[in-house]
Formats: sequence, structure tokens, C-alpha cells
Amino acid sequence: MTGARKVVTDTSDFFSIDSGDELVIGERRYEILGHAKELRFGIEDPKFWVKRAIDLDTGERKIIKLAYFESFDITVGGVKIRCFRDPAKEGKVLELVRGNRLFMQGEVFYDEKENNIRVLDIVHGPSFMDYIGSLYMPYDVYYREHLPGILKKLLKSFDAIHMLHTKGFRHGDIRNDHLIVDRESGNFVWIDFDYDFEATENRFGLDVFGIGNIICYAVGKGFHTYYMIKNDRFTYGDLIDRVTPDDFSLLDQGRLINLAKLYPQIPEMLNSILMFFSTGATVYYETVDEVIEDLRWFLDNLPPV
Amino acid sequence: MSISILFAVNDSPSSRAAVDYLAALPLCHEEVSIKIIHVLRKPSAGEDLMGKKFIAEQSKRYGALLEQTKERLVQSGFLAELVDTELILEPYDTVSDGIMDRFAAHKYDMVVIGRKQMSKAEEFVLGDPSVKLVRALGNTAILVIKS
Repeated sequence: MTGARKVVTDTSDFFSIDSGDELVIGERRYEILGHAKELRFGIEDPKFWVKRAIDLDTGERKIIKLAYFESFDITVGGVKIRCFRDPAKEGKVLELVRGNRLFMQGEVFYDEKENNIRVLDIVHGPSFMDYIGSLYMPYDVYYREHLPGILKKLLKSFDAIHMLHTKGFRHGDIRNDHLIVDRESGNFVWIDFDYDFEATENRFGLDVFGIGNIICYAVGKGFHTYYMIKNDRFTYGDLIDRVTPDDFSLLDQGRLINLAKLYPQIPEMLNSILMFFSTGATVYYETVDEVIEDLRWFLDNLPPV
Repeated sequence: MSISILFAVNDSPSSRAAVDYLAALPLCHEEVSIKIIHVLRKPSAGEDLMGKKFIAEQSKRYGALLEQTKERLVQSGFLAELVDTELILEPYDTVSDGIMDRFAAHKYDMVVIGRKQMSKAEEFVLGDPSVKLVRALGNTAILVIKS
């Protein structure tokens, strides 16, 4: 190592904290290895407020999230919603879920300027998105041999989200790359709960929508979009001639939700769970426990293969 | 036979439509008591930043709304001594939570609420108090006035 390490005790300017620096929080010392990057849709998105680090006393690798406040509007199905980063919320959730292995684990500290710092244990394993993407097999085989087990594990993870909701917290950013397949336990573990969205009359609506997307991804063995269906006749055959707008997701109208039209082996009882998230639906799930109840019923009454 | 009505209002066009509808209903005014309420929802992070002054102004504004609503109903024939108002200052997570709490505190024969026209996506994302009330409340009639 060349040059003196910069010792950081004030994390207000997280852009200036770089690899080789030493972050000191009370008695704890961490060497910064670099900042995290998020890879989504083929684009690398640097997250300068999230540092990769090593605990200098234990040698453990950690993720360190520094205080970063941003708010912005997103549009979901044409509806504008205010979203914002809330480090304090993530800290409270970490305390709430301590010891619950269906959530990432970590601790909250404060630097000399009272900036919130979350030191997180790394969950080792692929994201749910990558995990499903790695299952190269015909759909029939996937449906028979893998999907029931995947849905059972998802049920546990959804139960965990329900627990958060009963305590008044939202996850805030439920998506298939914020669910990690833990190599050690095989559990599907939630990460990244520092987002929140503006409270509306449907307090947990976006979380419920996220859950619906994950079920759709699992049941469909990936997402199937209108563009794909229209342009890939080899894979989708005449499906383009058989789908209607009502077969697509209410809040993402390019995404096929009526998966039984693509895979007829999907039984009505499972497909109907998905259809509550469709443009054709007139009744919607309001809470995660409603989804859990239906999914559990399906798994307890699996039709013969 | 007397009936008691819980009437939840806000300052939206759909709520004003509900006021007009209730005022025009051919009820026996001597037998009807009405509790007009407005529920303050817990401020979102954005509104929180606007400070205590903003919250206080909201209270004043909705207090005036309740009085105007009462006056409208009394003008249409309901008896002033049977029309009561309450601004619920204890902030609830959702408006429907506040309405359901008030309903539970005193049994009402009918709950009246307006419903604004919403797209399906808006209903899913934003939610609607009238839908929640229909799902949650029992042993009562729920009159939803769609504008």
C-alpha cells in the first residue's frame, strides 16, 4: 500500500470517500474498497453513497450505506407517486428484523455529524432475477420440478413482508433483484429497504404490486412482454393473435400477466392470482396477506401433474 | 324510526356532489341525525416538511368546510340540532382508518361518502376510501356517491 490512508469520521461528503480510505465510527474501523454499482437493463449505475468495505478488526466484507437524501416522482401505470430515500427508515427496519434471516442484517451507526450509517452483512447468492434466469430447461420441467418449491420459498418471503406491514413499515422497492437467493440457507432474502413512497389511501399498494411482479416472474420463468410476443414468433407462436389488453399488467401494460395463455399447464387457481394484477381486473389485492392466503391455498391444493 | 348517518367529507368535487345528493334525498328530516366528519391523514414526508403552520392551516380550512357542509344540509331541511360536525385531528394512516374508528365508536345506520372517478391504475396505487369501507364495515348501509 502506497501513501497514507485518509481517515474519515465525517461521511457528509460521500463522493470524496474512496478506496483505500479508512472509515472510523466509534470503535469500529473499515477499509473502503470502492463504491457499489447496480447493473440493471445492461447499464451500470454507480451508487457513490454505498461503499464496499472490509471490517479491519474481523476481516469481514461489508456493505456500508451512507446518508443520501433524494426524492423524485415515479410514474406507475400513469399514476404519479412521490418516492424518496429514507436512511432512517432503513435503520428502523434493520433493528426490527434483527435475527430474521429473510431480511439482510446490519447495524445502524452515526458519525460525528450525526449522519446515519448502515453497515450491512453481505447476502451471498444470486438475485432472484438471476436465479430464475439461470434455470435453463423447458418450461414443462421447470413447472413440475422447480416452481412449487420456488413458490413455497416465496411464500415465506411474502410472510416476512406482511410482518413489516403489520409493524407499519413498507419495503418500498420490491423487485426481483432486491430478493437474494442465499447460498447458505436457500432462503429468498430481502435487501435494500431504504426507499419509501408517499403514503396514500392504499398504504402498501406499491409493495403489493411488487409482490405481484415477483409471482409473475416466477410463474412465467421470466417476464414476457408484448414486444417479445409480437416479434418472436418462433418462441410465442400465434400468441400475439390471442392476447388482449386485459391480459397484461395493470401497472405495466407491456407485461403479460395472463400466463395461462402462454403456458396452458398453469392451472386456473394459480393464474387467477396473477389476474388480480391485470388490466382486466375489477377487484385488486389490497394487502400482502390476501395474496399469501390465495397462494398458500394453491400450494396446499396442488393439482395433479 | 330514527336513523343515524356518518358522513365523511373533504373538499373534492366528488364530496361536494355527495353533499348535494344527501341534501336532495327525500328523508324524514326529524328522524335523521347526521355526523359530518373530516379525517386528517398523517402527512407524507413531503407535507411534513411544510411544517406545523401548514398543518394548522389545514385544520382551519377543514373546520370551515365542515361548517359549510352543515349549513348546506340544514338549508335543505335537516334539523340543526341533529347535524353535528367533527374534525378529526388525530392523524390516521389512511382516511378509511379514521372513518372506521368513528364508526366503531358509535353505531351508525348508514355511512355516506363521495367517490371520485378514478382509473383502475389510480385505484390500485392510490386506493379509495369508499372501497375500503364497503369491504370492512358490517351491519350498516354504505352509500357511495360517484361523481
